[in-house]
Amino acid sequence: MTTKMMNGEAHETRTKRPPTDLELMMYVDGELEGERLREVRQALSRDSALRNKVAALSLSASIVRENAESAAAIDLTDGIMARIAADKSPTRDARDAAPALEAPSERKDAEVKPLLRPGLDKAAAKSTPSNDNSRGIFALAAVAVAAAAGLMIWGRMDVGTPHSQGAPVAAITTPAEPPAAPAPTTAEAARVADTDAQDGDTEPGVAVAAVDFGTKIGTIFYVPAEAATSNHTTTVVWLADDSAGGEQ
Amino acid sequence: MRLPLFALLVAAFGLSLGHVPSVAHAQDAAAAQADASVSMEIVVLHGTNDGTGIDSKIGKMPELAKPPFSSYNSYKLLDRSKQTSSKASPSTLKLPNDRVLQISLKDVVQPAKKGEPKRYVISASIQNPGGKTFLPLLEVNAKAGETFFVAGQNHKGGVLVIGIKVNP
Repeated sequence: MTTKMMNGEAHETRTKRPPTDLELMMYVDGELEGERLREVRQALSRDSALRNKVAALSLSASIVRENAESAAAIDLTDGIMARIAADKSPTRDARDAAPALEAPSERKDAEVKPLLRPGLDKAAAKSTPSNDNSRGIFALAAVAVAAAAGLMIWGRMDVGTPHSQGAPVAAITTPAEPPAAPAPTTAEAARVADTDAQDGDTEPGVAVAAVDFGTKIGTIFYVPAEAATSNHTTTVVWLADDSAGGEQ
Repeated sequence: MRLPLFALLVAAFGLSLGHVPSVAHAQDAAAAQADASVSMEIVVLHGTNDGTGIDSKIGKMPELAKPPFSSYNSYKLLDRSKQTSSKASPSTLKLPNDRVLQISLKDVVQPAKKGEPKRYVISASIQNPGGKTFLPLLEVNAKAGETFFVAGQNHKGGVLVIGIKVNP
């Protein structure tokens, strides 16, 4: 489309833009035509960089074409048939003998065609089964189920009870002299059960998790409770102003 | 094939949503722990060898007849108070020797088995009046209802015995 300007010159409203790489490739392949072909030619005549690019594209296109032709020239059919004919092992002869009796005579002349042509195997593999989509869907479904399972496990985790397990635990928390704990007899069991149910046998009612006596030396005692049959102890931290002591 | 996939994704999302309340519950529990507090009963005893025996006001405390408390034959109740401590606000108690006992709740540990009492992680320290620390740190993991003692400070010819009981 042209418009008449005040000075009487015709001016093209369409701006000339430099050719894109795609257009250069189309140009090399001979697929560009019309006005754009003319513009690209003009651009090539002006710009040496574009000419170099076109030369490189032409070279690569010629290399691809040569390789494609040489690959297409390879015919595996003859090679495969030659291998089959050479395989005259007894097993194969016995295997082939039975169906040969029932096979119609015209099958002897049946033409054997390769399933995949060289160079086209990838394309053929892609175009063969339509269940590639279903594979992807199954994979997505598996991911979704795995995510749900992970969330379920995470939801069941006890994340709300952080405690001081990470805190430094002094070695002195274990009583050096644990109170004697004779096994309760059957008669005593009922009486001891109440105490043990509350106190537990494995850990003291009060365990020292961390202690810093500063420059002094302190002592931690686990004093047995009144009932000798119970493991219950009372924790005593003894720190005198001028004492010297040790772990007991 | 797109519809079953969509249905699967929706089902998976629904399954995950079904467990969101447990996560929310955990967050609520964490928030509850953040403002948890513990009530403690603190007794201050004076142990001497003046032969007066154990003060009846102390109540039942059989430990006093056993070592190391048995080094003193007499115990007198100096103070009995109740304190409430939380993570945000530690409690303090001025001792008869002018030192200050500070107790703070560090953590509340839920019982591993149902029916067991909670455990409280409690931090204690004793400061001298001048600012110097007598006992820099004592951190205990105490079962509710249990008493522990901090003893040994010299006081008027004897020792101070501080008993701290964590109330359930």
